[in-house]
Amino acid sequence: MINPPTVFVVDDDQAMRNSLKWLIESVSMQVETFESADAFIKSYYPGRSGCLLLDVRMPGMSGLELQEYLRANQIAIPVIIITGHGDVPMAVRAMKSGAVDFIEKPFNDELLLESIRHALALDVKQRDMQAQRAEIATRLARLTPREHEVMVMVTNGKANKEIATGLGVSAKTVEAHRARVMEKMQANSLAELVRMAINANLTLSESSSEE
Amino acid sequence: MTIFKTQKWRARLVNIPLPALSLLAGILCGMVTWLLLDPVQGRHLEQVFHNELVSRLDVRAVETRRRFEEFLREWQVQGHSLSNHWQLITYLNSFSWEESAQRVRYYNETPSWLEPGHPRVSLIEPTQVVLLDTRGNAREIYQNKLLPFSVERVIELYAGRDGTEIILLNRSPYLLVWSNIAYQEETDPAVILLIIEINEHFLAESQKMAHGTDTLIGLVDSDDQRLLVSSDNEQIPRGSYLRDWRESYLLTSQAITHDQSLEQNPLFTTMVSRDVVQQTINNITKLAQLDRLFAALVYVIAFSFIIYLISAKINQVLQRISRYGQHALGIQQPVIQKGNQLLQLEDWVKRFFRQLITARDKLHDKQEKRIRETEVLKSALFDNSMVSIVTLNEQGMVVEVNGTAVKTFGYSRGMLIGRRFEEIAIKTDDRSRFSDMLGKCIKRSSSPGLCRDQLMMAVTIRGEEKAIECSVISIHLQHQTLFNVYLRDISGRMQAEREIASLAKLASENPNPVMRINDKGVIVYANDASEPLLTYWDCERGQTLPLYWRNLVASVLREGVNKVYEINIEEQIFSLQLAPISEVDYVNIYGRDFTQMRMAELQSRQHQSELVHVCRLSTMGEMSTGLAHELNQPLSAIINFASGCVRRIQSGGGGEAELLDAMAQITAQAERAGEIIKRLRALVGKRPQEREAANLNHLVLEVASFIEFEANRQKVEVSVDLSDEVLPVMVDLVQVEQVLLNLVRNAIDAMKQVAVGERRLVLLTERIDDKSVQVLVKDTGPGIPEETLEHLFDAFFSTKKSGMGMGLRISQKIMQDHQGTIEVVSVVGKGSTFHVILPSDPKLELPGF
Repeated sequence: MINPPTVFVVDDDQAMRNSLKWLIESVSMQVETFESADAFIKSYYPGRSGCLLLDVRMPGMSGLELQEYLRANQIAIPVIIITGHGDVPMAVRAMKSGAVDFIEKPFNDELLLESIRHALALDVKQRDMQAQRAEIATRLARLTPREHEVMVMVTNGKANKEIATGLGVSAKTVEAHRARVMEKMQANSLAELVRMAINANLTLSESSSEE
Repeated sequence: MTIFKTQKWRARLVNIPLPALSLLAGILCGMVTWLLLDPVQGRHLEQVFHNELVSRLDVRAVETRRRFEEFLREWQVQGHSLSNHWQLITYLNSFSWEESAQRVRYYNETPSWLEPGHPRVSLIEPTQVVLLDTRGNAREIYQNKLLPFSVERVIELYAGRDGTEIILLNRSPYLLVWSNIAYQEETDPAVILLIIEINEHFLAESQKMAHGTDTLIGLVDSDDQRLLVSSDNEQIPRGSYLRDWRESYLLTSQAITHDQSLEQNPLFTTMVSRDVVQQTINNITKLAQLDRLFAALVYVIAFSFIIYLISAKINQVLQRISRYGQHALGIQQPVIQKGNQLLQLEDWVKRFFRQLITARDKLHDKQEKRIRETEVLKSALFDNSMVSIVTLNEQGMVVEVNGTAVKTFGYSRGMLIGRRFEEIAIKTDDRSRFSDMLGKCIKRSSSPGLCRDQLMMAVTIRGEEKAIECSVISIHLQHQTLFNVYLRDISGRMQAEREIASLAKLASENPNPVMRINDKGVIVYANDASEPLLTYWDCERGQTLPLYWRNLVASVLREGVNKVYEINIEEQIFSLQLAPISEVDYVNIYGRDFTQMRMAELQSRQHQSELVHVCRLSTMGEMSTGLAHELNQPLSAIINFASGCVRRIQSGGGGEAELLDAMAQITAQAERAGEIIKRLRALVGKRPQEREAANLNHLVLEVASFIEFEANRQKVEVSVDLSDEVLPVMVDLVQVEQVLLNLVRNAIDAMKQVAVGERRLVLLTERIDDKSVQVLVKDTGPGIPEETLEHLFDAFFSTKKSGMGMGLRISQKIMQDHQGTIEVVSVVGKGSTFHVILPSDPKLELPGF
């Protein structure tokens, strides 16, 4: 059972919390509010889908610190930053820390909701990607070391002949390996295989190891 | 010696309280009375009682006799009853005596005709009972006891009698009772005779009914006054003479009244022992004495009590008088607390009069002293007068000169007296005028004449010429007329006048206006520099001032105190000091053109005001960011709520209650925003104003509201502790607010360096004394190091990165402007306290109070 996506609102001002909840609920989204970053951390468990609406200026743990915490704990929930007037430098820092969007108070409801929708979509996408990556990883695990080598080289854009020279085998053997790789990775085309490799961060690591 | 003794006695008496004394006196009086009266009264009483007793004894004697007689009568009744007794009658009827035989029959036992035990009265039985026949011969005799004589002889002697009778036989008294026996119808009846010996028993029995045994009775032979028998034979033996007992007994002899008269009727004697009588009298007297003693005691007690009451009252009155004396009249009179009030009152009065006399003597002394002093003063006046005084007689001879004259002219007193004054001391040219003056005064000598102030030249012993002013007054004594000549050396004065004339230049050449106005408001003097003022007033020298200024001059004169006024004449500003010279009813006006100074002052003030403004703007700038953020919160909330509502209504979702709740939230947030804006306006919207009266507490409250956001943001706990009383101050509100704002913001900034829970700010107001109040701004910051403290109020000194270093400098300037101060007390590590001290007049009226 997958939970419906929830909008988590963290703001120290009660009026803000209440009004945000009121606004977001008007478009039939689920909202949970927290009066501090601490409270949020205590009740949130990773894996809950949704997005985070975060006030930058807060007593105790600030919005930026919370972002830092999430990143450190590899919680990939999309974050929308709400800033007061004139907090532009802080907003920039937030964006640099990986926030999806930032909204300046007072804000247009349409804009906010759009941003939320966008964040939720992003969340869904991120979750899909993560699932995909997991799938690719299992497939990769099935490859033999030689097949793995061949796959890295192929996705790095090397021709069969080059690979054969590089590995010291015949071109035919390379072909056979390549076919088995395509099969094991369930790739219909080279393009698909390349995408999978990118997804699994194969290219970079291999190329660096090659150096 | 006696006086000394009396004094000693008195001193002792004074200490004894009056009630005790009165008690003593009472007892003494009672004793004296007792000693004087007791013997006299006692003797008298004894006499009275004696007489009374004797008369009572008489009565008793009669009673005793009556009882005796009654006893005799009882014997008669006994005789009658025997004669009628049935045994006797029966016996007599049984036979009759033989007439011839004169034989008497004797019985020694009780005969048959007698009932045994009869006859008797009380305990006495008859010695003989005899029956006689009708002829009077004894026939039968019952001898109860033998008689010392023959019965027949008695019958012979006393036959034919009836009733009872007392007879003497051998000097012994006997009672005979005759009674007729009616046994036959014969006229001559038989008789029964009882013979009873009257002895002491008989007498005792006769008195058995009476009480008391102190009375003895007896029968006395009326012839020789010897006792025949007595009731107590041992005490009073029979045969003794009555007169022998008069010493020890009271005797009363009475004749026995009897039916039959007898030759030998003995007297009945009553005897009462004198001892008994005396004892009774003594008893009664003692009782009376006790009575008197008791009465005396009651008298003493009552007397003492009354005196005690009176003394208590006197005591009260005395105490009251003493206190009054002490408090109201200041007389050092001790309050009488105890002791003898009367003596103390005497002392008191004595002391009072002594004090009175002392006071009178003192007064007298003082008066005398004053008179003496006056004399001395007068002579001193005469001698030390600034004026030379010479007294001349009618001939113009010097009679007396004073010290000044001696000094002025250089002649000794001896050289002057007795000579014509003008010949010695007046310049030759003026001598005739001097003589004329005297002459004029002599002509007017009928009334005290005075010729005054003639200017003459005098010559001293050294030949110097001196200008003198000469006045003469004539003094008329009883026999002569004298002249007092007063000579005033005016050479000094003339010099002074010249100097004064030169001094006048001081005013005339003064570049500032100097004027003199008299009490009518007329300009008596005005120097050249006064021209602009004269033009302004539109008057000339010698004319009166305008009415307003005339009134000012009058009021200054009245009050006698310098006053300063300002006037603006076109571009110029003058300060005019009105200085009254009350002795001559003038007012001097010293003007000063201080246009330049005022301009400079104004400029400086303006600068300061601008500086404050800049400072304020900077404060505002810093604070408005925070305020804007604050304002954003409610506005955002409002938009969110409103948008939410719109969406719900559009989509048809959302209950009415839900929507209403949201709208209520909108209202609340809008109000919140309004509140913030109000504060913002309070901070910004003020304009520099003149001084006005305000309550320092309100000012501090306002400042506290300004910094609320910032304090909240910095997590500073702010407590405001205001004085209960109103603290009125006369200040420029904006400026003083700015001072406090600066201090509070500094404090909040400083506390950024300490932990969140430790940030506490206290704003406290209190009155220091009648003239000043203060605000304390107290933080728990890190404190200010000593080297920083020294420069704290210097310009461009700042410990902050963004600071201009002007805040405290300006604050101090503002406070100086308000005659106030800022002081700081700081402990490194503990915090700092700023004291803002402002002058305050408690009587200052506040607007709106």
